Amino acid sequence: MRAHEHLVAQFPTWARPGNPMLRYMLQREERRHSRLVRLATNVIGAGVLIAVLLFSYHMFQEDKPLVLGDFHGSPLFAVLYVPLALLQFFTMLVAILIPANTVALEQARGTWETLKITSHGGELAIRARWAAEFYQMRWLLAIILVPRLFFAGRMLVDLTAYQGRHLDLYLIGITPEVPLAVGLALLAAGMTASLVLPLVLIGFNAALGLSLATVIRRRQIASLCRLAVVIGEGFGFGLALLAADVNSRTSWTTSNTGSWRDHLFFALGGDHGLRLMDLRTQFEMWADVRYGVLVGGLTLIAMIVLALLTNNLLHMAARHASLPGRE
Amino acid sequence: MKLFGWLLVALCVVLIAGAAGARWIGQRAQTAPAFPLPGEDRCWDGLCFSAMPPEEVLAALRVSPRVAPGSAAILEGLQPAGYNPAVAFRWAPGTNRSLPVLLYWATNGYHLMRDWRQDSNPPLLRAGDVLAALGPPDRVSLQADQVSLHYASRRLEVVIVPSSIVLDRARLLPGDGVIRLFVISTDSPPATERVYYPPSSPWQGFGLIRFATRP
Repeated sequence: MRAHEHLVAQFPTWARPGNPMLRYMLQREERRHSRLVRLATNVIGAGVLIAVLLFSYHMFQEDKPLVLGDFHGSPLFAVLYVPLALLQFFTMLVAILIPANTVALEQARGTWETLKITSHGGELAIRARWAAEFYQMRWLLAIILVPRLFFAGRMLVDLTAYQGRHLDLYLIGITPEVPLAVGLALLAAGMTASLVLPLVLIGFNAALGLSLATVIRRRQIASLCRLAVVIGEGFGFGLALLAADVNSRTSWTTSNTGSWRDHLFFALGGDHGLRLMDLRTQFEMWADVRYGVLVGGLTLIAMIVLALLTNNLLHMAARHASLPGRE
Repeated sequence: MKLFGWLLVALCVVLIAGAAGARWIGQRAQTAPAFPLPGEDRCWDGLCFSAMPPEEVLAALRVSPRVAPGSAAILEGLQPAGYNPAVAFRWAPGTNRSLPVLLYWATNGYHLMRDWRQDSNPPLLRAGDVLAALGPPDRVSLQADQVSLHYASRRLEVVIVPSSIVLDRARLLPGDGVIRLFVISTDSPPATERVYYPPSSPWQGFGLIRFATRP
């Protein structure tokens, strides 16, 4: 309990659960829809997720794991892979769509101008709205992150294989040659990126949604921009999954298992690093793809850049929300 | 952002430590592969099969504490390969599971082989176990649908069924099964007419291996 309190104390004031503005936003969101509607939404969502899980399990039983093609790793990973990737994508879309009416709702209630004239009111409202999204989606985030934590533990256990030389075996003959310590650091960097990337991408989308809602004054144009982002992300996600499926079915004899750029794009725009959470799959990428050993480290760097961008977007949204004359 | 940075660094450090710890535990917990590899003296588990007649081998296996009691037997005219004689036994190093093995002799050495009479019989080892114990081989060669790792100094040939194989290319992974260990105890008899060199290659690491036809 103390550790939890200590961790929460490190959050900025607007992101703490006890913050009045954040609490108000969460309570308001809860009251926006009746209990029945919320229950129905949850039941339908859970039903769809279970259906996708069962379909994935069926395909695995048929020896045709979805998207993974010629996969010989953990059965649990093969079954959970596509449902988790789809859930992550769905959560990203929800994150960009939730803040669509942030300013409009406050304006409709006539509270926006009052908020703005209080000290940092507009700025705090935007930041609290961003933090509220994580609280609102906590169960979705738990479903996404718990399996990843399990896979991370599984990777560590798999590292003990071959008399503890599993990593050493795959470092021989790869391009570029890396010493053991660097290989270990790159593996850990990839695991870190895979664990945190979904959170960063969801945070990025939420900040983008808030920026569009505050920076673009005309709601119709903001909606069009939001639609364009959703279509773009959907296209990128579909393309990445399709490329992964094609790559996994391509004959290994042609060495056409994609370049390190393909794998990086796939990690960022496709499964958000989920594939890197199977040790055998990651090691096979190191062996098959030139510079594949660097993909984990590059994903981590790209994720840090995304986090900085998110910070800037949030700052921009907060600044625009504080400007006078927004009607 | 600062908190995020610290959390990221902390997570990365924990995972580096975790990975290093897992590697260390693996090295401490499993010091030797489940099935012993022949030593530099060309003997296996203390038994020098090259210098022993089949009856003596049988007697030695029967008293070995790591061979399942009553499992060692001489097989005459083992078909389809026609090995004669061959010795079958079950390797059981103190665990509940036992591994059926065939032992037979060649002109210049002996073979320890997965018992192929039943498809469900497991391989002797995995390729990764061999490389973890002996290091990279001197050369890798391709013979039909099998890949051989050659350890010249140990006079040992390790035969593996790779994950996939097409023409002069094979995909070898650490989990691929070792089906035969060939211990060369004496030099091969001189080749009088032709010498056939199988396509071979220096060790390139796991993954795709391309073989050349030149020796």
